[in-house]
Amino acid sequence: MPYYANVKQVEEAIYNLAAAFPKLAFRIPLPHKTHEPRETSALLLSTLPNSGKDTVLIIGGVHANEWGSCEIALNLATMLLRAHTEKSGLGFGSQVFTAQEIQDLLANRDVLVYPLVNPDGRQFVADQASPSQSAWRKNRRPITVDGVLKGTGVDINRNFDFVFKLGLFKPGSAPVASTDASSDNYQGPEAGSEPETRNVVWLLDNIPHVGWLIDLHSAGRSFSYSWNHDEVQSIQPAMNFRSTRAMGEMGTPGAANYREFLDATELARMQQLASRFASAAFAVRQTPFETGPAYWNSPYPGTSHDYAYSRHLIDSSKSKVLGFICEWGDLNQHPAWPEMEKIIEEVTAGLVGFCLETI
Amino acid sequence: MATTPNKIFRVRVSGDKAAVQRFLATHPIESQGVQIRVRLDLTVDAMQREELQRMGLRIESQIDVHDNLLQRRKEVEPLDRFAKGGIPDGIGRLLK
Repeated sequence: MPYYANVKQVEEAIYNLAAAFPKLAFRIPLPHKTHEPRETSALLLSTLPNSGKDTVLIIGGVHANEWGSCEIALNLATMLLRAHTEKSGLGFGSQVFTAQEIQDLLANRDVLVYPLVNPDGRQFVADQASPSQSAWRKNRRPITVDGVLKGTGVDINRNFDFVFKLGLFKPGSAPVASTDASSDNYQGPEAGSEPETRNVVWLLDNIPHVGWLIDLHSAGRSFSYSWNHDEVQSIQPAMNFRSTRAMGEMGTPGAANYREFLDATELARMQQLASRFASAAFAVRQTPFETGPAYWNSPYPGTSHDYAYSRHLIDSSKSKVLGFICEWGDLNQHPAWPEMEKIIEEVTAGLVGFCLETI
Repeated sequence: MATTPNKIFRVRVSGDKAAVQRFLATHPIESQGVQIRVRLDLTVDAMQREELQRMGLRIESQIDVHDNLLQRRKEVEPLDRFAKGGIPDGIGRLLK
């Protein structure tokens, strides 16, 4: 892939990978068309579909201006498919995975990539001739109230059904989401209102045994995990988002009366997985990734990774999904391609390390 | 020295925690913030850069968003690379 892909190529690449590796790669069409409208696909890597193996789900391209995430997801799929088929190992810089490790990975886990969640937004950014909209991050659905246009687009990573009501947050905690349709962080009229959001939810609902979700974003060089709406504590299980005491109290750093519960064992497991990502990525070119719970100073409601992790807490019939968010790159959300190639290498290495650590 | 107000930068600034929190208290980050730790990654116009410095935050690095956009447009593959069934080359090495 010599350059950033265009929107059409992402979909074509998924079709072609499924055709080139028919026993190992399976295209999954998503049911909800985007506003413009576009159809999108995910790609399941599996040696034996529907066999009950736990699945790592990796999504990219949620934010329109953060190019590179979908290229990372496609690269992970491509390299795993090639290495498994040719019984090869994989090398990324000085990070090496043996042929046996790659065989073991897909013998024990399915890997599901959904490279471009928000194609309308990405196409909009690609079409811009002036800088005014080059930082566009939302989808492209017009928002009208009583027939009056109030704005365009919803921030998909604020639209998931988790602590969506901003009234849950303590006044002054400044949640990074907005009810103003003109805002970059407009959360949408209701949770799950957007087809892009519903496609991710559909994967969680319909692909059995998803155990991990990683949402690829840029920038900041961090690999974080739940929670993103408040500080984490593992001492008081009753202090949680489902309790009435949460109302109006969330989101303030250092607050004693509300911090979000996260089981200590699961917290340790999340850190273990994040550390494995960071160590594998670091080995490529000695780039450090910060790890830890995602919250710092300001609460982020409605994120994909917190939604994924909250599902089993709200509905015990749903499987547990550990949620992660990767912020690749140093500062530039669209690095020059030679730098992006290096980022793709290090993040792909981190993701392979992560998948191996889940076994 | 006056700067051009319409020029948009993406900047990384750093400072002590108090300086960062002072800045966040007066600037709703919904319009600018991305990654918030002791460092901030922000999209700001040229005038805001001066304000950042007055508030005790040091600009570590910056990108001209417009230049970045022009570069990006050169780096999007315009052709239907995969229209005839090809697959991505893949970045990384296969090890036999």
